Amino acid sequence: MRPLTLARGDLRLTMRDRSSIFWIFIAPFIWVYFFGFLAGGGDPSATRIGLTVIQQESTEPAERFIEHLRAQNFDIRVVKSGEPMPSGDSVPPRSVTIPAGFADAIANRLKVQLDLHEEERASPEGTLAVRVALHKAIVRLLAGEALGGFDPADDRVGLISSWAGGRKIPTGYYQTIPGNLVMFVLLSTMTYGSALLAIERRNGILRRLAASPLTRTEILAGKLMGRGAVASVQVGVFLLIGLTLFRIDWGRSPGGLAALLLTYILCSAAIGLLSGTLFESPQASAGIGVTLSLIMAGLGGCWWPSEVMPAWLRTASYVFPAAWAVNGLHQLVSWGGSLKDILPHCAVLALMGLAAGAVAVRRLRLD
Amino acid sequence: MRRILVLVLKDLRRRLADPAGFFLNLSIPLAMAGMMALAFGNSGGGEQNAPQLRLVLVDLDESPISGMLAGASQNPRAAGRMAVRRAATREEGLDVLRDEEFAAMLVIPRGFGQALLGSERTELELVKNPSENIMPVVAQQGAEVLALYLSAGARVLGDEGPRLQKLLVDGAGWNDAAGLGSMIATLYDRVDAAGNLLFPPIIEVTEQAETKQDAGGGFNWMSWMFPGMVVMGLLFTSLTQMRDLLRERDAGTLRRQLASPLGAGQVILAKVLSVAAVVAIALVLLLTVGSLAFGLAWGAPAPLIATSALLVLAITGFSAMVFALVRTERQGDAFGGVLTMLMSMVGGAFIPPQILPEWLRGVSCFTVNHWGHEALRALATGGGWAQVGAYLPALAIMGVVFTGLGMTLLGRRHLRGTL
Amino acid sequence: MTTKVRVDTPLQVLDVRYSYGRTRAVDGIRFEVGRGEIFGLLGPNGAGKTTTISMISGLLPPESGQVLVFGHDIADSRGGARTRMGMVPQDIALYEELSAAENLRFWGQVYGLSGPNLKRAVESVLDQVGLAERAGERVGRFSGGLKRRLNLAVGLVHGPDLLLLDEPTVGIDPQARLRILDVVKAQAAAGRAVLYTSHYLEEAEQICDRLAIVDHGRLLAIGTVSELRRLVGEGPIINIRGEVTSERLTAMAGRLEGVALLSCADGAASFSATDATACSSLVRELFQTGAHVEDLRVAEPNLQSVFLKLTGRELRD
Repeated sequence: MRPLTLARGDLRLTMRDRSSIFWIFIAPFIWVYFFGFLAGGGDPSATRIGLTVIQQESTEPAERFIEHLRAQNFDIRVVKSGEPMPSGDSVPPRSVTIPAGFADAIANRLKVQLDLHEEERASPEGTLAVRVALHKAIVRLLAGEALGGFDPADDRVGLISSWAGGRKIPTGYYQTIPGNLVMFVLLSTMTYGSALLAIERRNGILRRLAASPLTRTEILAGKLMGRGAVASVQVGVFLLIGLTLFRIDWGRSPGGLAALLLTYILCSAAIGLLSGTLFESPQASAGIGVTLSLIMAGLGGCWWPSEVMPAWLRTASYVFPAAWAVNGLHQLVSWGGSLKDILPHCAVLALMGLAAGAVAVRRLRLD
Repeated sequence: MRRILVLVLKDLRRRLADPAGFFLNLSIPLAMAGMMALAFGNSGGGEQNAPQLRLVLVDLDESPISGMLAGASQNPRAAGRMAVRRAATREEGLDVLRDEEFAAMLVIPRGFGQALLGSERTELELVKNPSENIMPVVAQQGAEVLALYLSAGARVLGDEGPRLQKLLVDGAGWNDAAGLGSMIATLYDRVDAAGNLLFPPIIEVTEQAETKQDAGGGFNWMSWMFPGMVVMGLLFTSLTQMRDLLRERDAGTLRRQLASPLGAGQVILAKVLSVAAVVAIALVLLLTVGSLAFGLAWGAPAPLIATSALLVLAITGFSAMVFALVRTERQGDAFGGVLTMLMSMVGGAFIPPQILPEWLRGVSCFTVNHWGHEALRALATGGGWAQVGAYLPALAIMGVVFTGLGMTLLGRRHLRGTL
Repeated sequence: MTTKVRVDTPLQVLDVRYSYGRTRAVDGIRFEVGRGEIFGLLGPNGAGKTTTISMISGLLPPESGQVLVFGHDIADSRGGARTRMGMVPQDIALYEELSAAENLRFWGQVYGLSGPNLKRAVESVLDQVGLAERAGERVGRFSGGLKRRLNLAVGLVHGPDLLLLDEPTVGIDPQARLRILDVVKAQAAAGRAVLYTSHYLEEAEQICDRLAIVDHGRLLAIGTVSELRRLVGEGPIINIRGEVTSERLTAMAGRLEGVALLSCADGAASFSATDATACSSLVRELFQTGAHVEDLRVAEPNLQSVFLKLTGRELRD
C-alpha cells in the first residue's frame, strides 16, 4: 500500500514538529481542564450557588424571607447589622441587602427595595438563578402575608423536572471535551495538514512524487490519509484523556461513536487537504487555517452552548462540519443515542468531506 | 540615528510589499471578536440580546385553565422571548425536543385544571433537553415560578375553586345569583388583599453589578471582550515581526548589516523599533475596527496614547525576549504561540480573570495581557487617567524590563556569534 | 612577530586566532592583500575560512591578533574600517520583498550614501552587473544567477576599496559565473583589493593573483599560483583509481626515485613525479606488483594537486 507510506511520512513529519507535541498532546488537556473547570468541572449541578444576605433588621418577615431563600438549595450566609462584611475568595460573589424598615414597609403595603450586588466574578447563570430565587422568596413571603401563610407544603402545583435521555448534560467537562475534540481536530488538519502541503509544494517534493511510480490517485489518497492520521491521533488523545483523566462517559454506542468520529476525521482531512491547495505559502496556509478553524469551532458550538446563539445563526452554523460533529456527540453522549440516531450526521459529514476532497483533487497541482 | 531610521524604514517597506502575514495575524482576533458579536451581540448577555427560550408545550388536559396557560405564551411580551411549539402527545413532544433542538418540554397533565380548581395537588412536568445546558435551566426556573404563581392563585381561590370549576367547566350555577355574588365578593376581597402585595410585588430587587459601564450608561459586552482580543492579536503580530530577526540571520542580511558601519546595538535597536512600529500600526487598526464595527469609544486621546505607547513597548519587549531565548524561527513560533495562548487564557482574553482561582489570578498579574486588557477595557468603558492610571505603571515596568532584557540577551548572542 | 601597520595596505590579517569552546577554529593566520590584488583564500569545509572572513568583516572579535583595514583595526575603529570594505556573503543576503533598486538604495544608505550620490551609485552598479533593465523588479522573482549578481552589486554599491567575496559564484550557471568574474576582475583593475574564497579551484587559478591554502585553522601555503604549483614539483601528477591501500602505495613510492604519494583514500590515489622517467617507473611498478588499477590518468600539476599534497583531501571533501 504505497499511499500508506505517504500517510506514514506525513504523520511522522507532523509529529517531528516540536510545536505539534504541545498542540496535539498537551494543549488539549490544558484547554479541557481550564475551560471545563471554569464551567463547573465534572458535576456542576453539585455546586450550590452562594448568596450573602445582609440583614439590616431582625424582624419576623426578614427571618421568614431568609428561610424561603434557604429552602431553595442556596448556600446562604447571613451578615447581621453591625457584623463585619466577610471578604476573600470563599465569600459568595453576590449579596442581597434586606433594609431596615423591611417589615414595616410590608405591613403598610409600601414599596421596599432589596439591593442585589454582584461582583465581577459572578457568573451570569448564577445571577439568573439568584434573581429567580429572590423572586420566588418574595412571592412566597407576600402571598403568605396576604393569605395567612404560604409554605411549600401548601403548594397545590408542583413541578417534576427531569432530563430526557437521563444522560450527562453538556456542561463542565461534558461541554469542553466534545467541543475541544471537534476544534482541535480541525486545527490540526487545517494548520499542520495544509501547511505541510504548501511546504512540500515549495520544496519540490510534490513534483518529485509526481515523477515517482505513484499514480495521482495514490498520491492524493496518501495525502488524505496522512491528514486523517494526524486527525486520528488528535481524536485518540481526546478519547484517552476523556476516559482516563476526566472519566467521561462517551455514551452507549461505541459503534455510533466510531462512525461519527471516522466520518468527521475524513471530512476534516479533506478540508485540510483543500486548505493546503488554496495558498502558496505555508504561513498563509496555517494562518488562514487557524482563523477558519476558530470560526467553524466557535459557531459550531465548540466554545459555548449553541442554544445561546440567535436561531438564524444556529441554523446557519450547520454549513460547517463542526456543528454536525458537536451535535452528533451530544446525541450520543447526552441523549444516549445509537448508530441510527447519528446516521444523518455521518452522511452529512461524509458528503462535506467528499465535496471538499473533490475540490481539493481538482485544485491540487503536482507539476 | 539616520541609519537606524533607514533600517526601520526598510522593514516597514518590506511589510508593505508583503502584508499578508500582517493581516493574517490580525484576522484571528478580529474573526473571534466578530464571531462573538454575531453570537451574543455587542451587549453580550444583556436583556435585549437574551437568547430565545424554545419550549415544547404538551397540553394533555385541554381544559379552559390549561388553555389559558398555553395562551399566555402567545402574548406579545412572552412571544419575543419564547418560541413555543405545541405537540399533541408526550412522544411527539420528545421528538420535537430532540430533533428541532428545543430547550424543554412542559407537559400539562390530564385533569390539571380540575385538580387546580378542586383544591387537589397536581404537578406540571418539565422534560429538559440533555444536549443543552443553559436554556433548559432557564426553562426550569420559569416553570418553578409558574408553579408558584399557580399555587398562590389556587390559594387565593381557596374553597371557591369547586364552585368556579362548576361555573367554568360545567356551566352550572349561573342562575344562583346570590351564590354567585357572594363568591365574587369573597374572591374580590382575597384578590384585592393579595394584589396590594403581589401585583406587582411591593418588594423589588434592584441590581448593582460591578461591571463597568460605557459612556452611554449601558454595558457594552464588547468593551470587555475586544480588548483581550486586541492584546492577543498584538502579541501574535509582534512575535511574527520579531521572527524576522532570525529570518534575516538565516538569509545572511543580518550578517551583512553587522559587517557594515552599524554597530550590533544599532541593528538590534532598529529591529525592535520596526517591530514596535508594526505593532503600533496593528493597534491603531484594531482600535479603529473596535470603534467602527463594535461601537467602542476609546476615551480621551492622552490616556489612550499613553496606554497604547506602553502596551506597544511591553509587547515588543516580550517578543524580543522570546526571540533572544530561541535558536530557530520554528522554536520561536512554537514557544511564542504557546505562551501567547496561555497568557491570553489566564490574562482574561476569553473569560473574566475575576472568576479564575486565586493562584491563577496571581499568575495573571505577570502577563502583559492582564494589564493591557485592563487598561484598554478601562478606556473602552469611558475611563480616563484615573481609571487607567493603576495599570500604566505595570505596563511601563514590563515594557522597560522586557525590552531591556531582550536587547541585552540579543546583544550577548551577537557577541557569542550565534546571532 | 611584529608587523608594520601600513595605512595604504587594504588588508592586513595578523596572526588571528579564534576558538569555539575548546575547538580552535583559526590558529594564527597571517596574510596581506594589496591594492589591485585578487587574493584567494582556499580550504575545505571546516578549514576555518568562514571564521577568518567573520573576523575580517568584524563579526567576530579575534582572541588574539589583529585585522587592519587600511591601517585601522577592525575592532577599534569600526566605522572607518567598515565603510571602506564591501562584503559579499555566500548567502544571497537580499530582501526578496524589495526590488533590486530598493535593495541597493537601502544598503547604500546603510553605508552613508544619500541624495544624488546614492542615485548615481545605484545606477552605476546596476549597469556593472547587467541588471539595469530589471531594477524595479522584485528580487523574489529573480533566478539564482540574477540574485548572485545583485548580491555582488550590494557589496559594491558604496564603492569600497576592499571587497570580501565569500563564494560569490556558488550554484550558478557558467554564463552568470563569467559575468561575475568579469566584474571582480574589473574591480581589481580599478585598484580595489579583493579577498576571494571559492570551492572552484579552476576559478581561483583563473582570477587570483595570490592564494592562501588553509586547513584545520592554519595557513598551509601562500603564494602565486605558479609558486604553489612548484610545491608539488614541475613533473606530472598520476591519479589512479582501484583497489589500493595507503600502506602499499606509500611503500611503493618510497622504493621509486622521484615519486611521492600525494593522497590515498576511498579507492583513489594521487602521485607526483619529478619527470617522465619517474612517471614511467611508477606505472610499471603498479602493473608489475599486480595492483588492481581500474583507471589511470596523467595530468599537469594544478591547484588540486597542491591541495591534495597539503591537506590530503580534495577541496570539496
